[in-house]
Amino acid sequence: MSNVRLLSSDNEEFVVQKEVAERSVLIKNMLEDVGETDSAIPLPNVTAKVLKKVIEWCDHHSSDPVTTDETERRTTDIDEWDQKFMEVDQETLFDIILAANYLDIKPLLDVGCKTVANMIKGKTAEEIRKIFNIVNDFTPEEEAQIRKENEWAEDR
Amino acid sequence: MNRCAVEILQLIFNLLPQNQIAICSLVCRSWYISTRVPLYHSIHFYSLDQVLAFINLTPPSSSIIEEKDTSVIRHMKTIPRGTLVRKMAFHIQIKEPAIWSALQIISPRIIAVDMIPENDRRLYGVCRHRYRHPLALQWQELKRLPVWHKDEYGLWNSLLSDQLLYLGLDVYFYDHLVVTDNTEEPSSSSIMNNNFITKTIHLPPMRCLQELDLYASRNFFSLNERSFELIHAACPSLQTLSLTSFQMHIISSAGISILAPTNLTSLYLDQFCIHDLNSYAYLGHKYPNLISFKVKDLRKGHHHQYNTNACDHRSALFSLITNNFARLKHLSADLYEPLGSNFLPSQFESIWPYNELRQWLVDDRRERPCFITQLHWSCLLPFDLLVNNDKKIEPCEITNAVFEFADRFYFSHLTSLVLITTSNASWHQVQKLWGKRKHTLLPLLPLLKTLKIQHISSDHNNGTSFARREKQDFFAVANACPKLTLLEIESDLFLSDKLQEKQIFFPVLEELVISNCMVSLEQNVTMVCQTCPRLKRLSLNNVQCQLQSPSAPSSSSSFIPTKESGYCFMLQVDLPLLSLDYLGLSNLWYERMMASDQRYTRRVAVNDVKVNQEKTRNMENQNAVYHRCTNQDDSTITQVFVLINCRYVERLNINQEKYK
Repeated sequence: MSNVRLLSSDNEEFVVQKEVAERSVLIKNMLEDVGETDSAIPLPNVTAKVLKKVIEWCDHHSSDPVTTDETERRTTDIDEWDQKFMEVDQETLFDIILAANYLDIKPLLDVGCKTVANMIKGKTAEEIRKIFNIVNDFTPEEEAQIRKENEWAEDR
Repeated sequence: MNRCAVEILQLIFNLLPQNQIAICSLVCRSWYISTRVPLYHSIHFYSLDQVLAFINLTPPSSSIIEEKDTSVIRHMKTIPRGTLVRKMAFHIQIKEPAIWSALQIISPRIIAVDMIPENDRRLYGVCRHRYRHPLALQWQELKRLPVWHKDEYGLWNSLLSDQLLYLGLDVYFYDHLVVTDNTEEPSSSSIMNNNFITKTIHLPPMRCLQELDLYASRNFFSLNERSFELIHAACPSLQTLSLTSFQMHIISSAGISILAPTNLTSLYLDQFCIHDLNSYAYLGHKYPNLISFKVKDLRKGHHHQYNTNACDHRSALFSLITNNFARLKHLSADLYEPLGSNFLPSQFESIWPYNELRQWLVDDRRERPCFITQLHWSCLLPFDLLVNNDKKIEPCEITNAVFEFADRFYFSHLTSLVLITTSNASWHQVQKLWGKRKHTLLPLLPLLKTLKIQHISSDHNNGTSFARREKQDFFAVANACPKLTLLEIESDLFLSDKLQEKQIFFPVLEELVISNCMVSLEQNVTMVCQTCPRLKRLSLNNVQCQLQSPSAPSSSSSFIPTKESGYCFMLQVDLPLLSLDYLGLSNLWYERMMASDQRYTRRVAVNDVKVNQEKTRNMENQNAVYHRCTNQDDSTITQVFVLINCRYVERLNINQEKYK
């Protein structure tokens, strides 16, 4: 089993098994294009802290089958290990999501999005703003207009 | 959050229900823009008001002063919402043609229309589309269409036959597609005189059709191999074929082997009657690539021309499953066994070759590419028969045969299991098997996600059976199936009163369906739900609410003494910690005719069902949803009020119509 060297944006080097690194479609494609190489793969969008988390996830899920099942993805349930894994501060959570998106690790991106979706579920707009520290930049007219526009979706 | 690109926000919004996406659009401008596609791509209508609100969705009028035209308002003015909509699902029935036509004008780019009846039951024979505006004319990108009724064939054929991927069709409404097959040999003319009419279905060519769902709501007619060949000739891309309410026989067994096999992966036969053994051979030859095979209510034809018995049919079916369908992953066999009164337990084996089936399932020497991951197994044992026999018989043989798998390699792969039994004794056996394993380290069904248990009591007419029947340890099930996410129980003997407090039995259970049984809402339902921290969907259907008599509060009997009739009972389910995606309450009631016993009141009615949510979204929703039964003419009716408290309910469905 060959190893791959990954270089984070802050120049920290990680040595991981090839099959673990290949959970990332980006890295997999890179390795296919470059072939056998001794030099480290630079990942300029990912810091060492986040890369460490991502590798931890890939390592745990290295033997997972690749699922393309759409219905599986629609639900917001997350398996227990992933739930624990995602118990991080908000900044790290979004760092992981962005890294998963950049590295093209679909299942990790899904887990991240599900985690955020579960944070949103059942909350009001005000509560959501509070959780994610978002400023309400609507004018009163806009807000009224959107409420009117949303009428069809709100009532059941 | 601010760093997230629109595409990531959209991924997140796609995971939310539409009303939650609507709330997200009110968070800030960038969220508003990001919610547009997720909110409108696939929309669900649950009420007519919603449809009307959608139709009347107009962009902000130009009367708004120009300087107030912010980016959001401009966005609203320039992008017509309706054009974003690609899928529409209706949970209600729309009758007015004007509404259909308005929907079509607003949303011209629809590719899929779905009708979702409550409980997902198919509603063939109910003309949902009788008043429907010709969908096909307006929706030119339509690819999925549910059951059609009374629509002129030419209306959709010319426009849609090239693009439909899914079609559900009740052939009763399409007489001109169905042609009596005259090519059968002359000798079969006698067959026609015996309600045995063979017809072929002449479908228009549909080159992309992947899923075909044919149903014969009237005129139960027979298909022969020619009928099948015609279907496949018309739909060369077909992957899923579902046939409901047909008969089948084969004219010429000699010709079967020269027919070309198809790539069909799913075959569903429901209320299907097979007359001859050659039909099994035909299915085996025609569909060697099946991954999913479902038979429900498969019957043996009784025509005298085919002199076969039930055992031959079962063997042929078994041989079909084991020999022909080498790639099978999902097997569902829902068969009613009409056992005669002279039936002996030793004949179990002859009716279904259980031993052979077991061997086939556990035989790992065969190089099967994958194991069956879904098994729907049901068998009905006539309980009365077994007790009426003079000899005392252990009626557990079938259950044993099925459960012996448990000890083998095989069941550890199973993710779905349905058990139906009518026999109390075999039910005991099920319980015993689970009970035994309560303390073992290895769980019985480690991967099982779906479990449905139905116990159809064969002595329902016996009024005393409820009181007498022993309660079963429901939680033994939980110990055996740690990964269970869906549990459906249709049995009135499943809940144990002795519950260890605060113990979590179903750590990952998300959906619980309790039907056709008698429970105490306060004790049983509340306790069970409290042991399922991840419960998302709860349904109580046809549940008889157990009442506590005011004079004898500890009484577990559900019978209300006559002198107490007219009382009001308040039943409460307290789930303050649960946020549910779905809460369905249908036909919570109690009505039992106790004419033979004057001590008990005749009727108890659930009079009012109320759901209290601790957390409500907006002011309009704050009024709890009520359903009030209007029937109050009888002052002796004991009234029951049901109150359900939970943190939050995403979608609520209360249906109390059954009360009469």
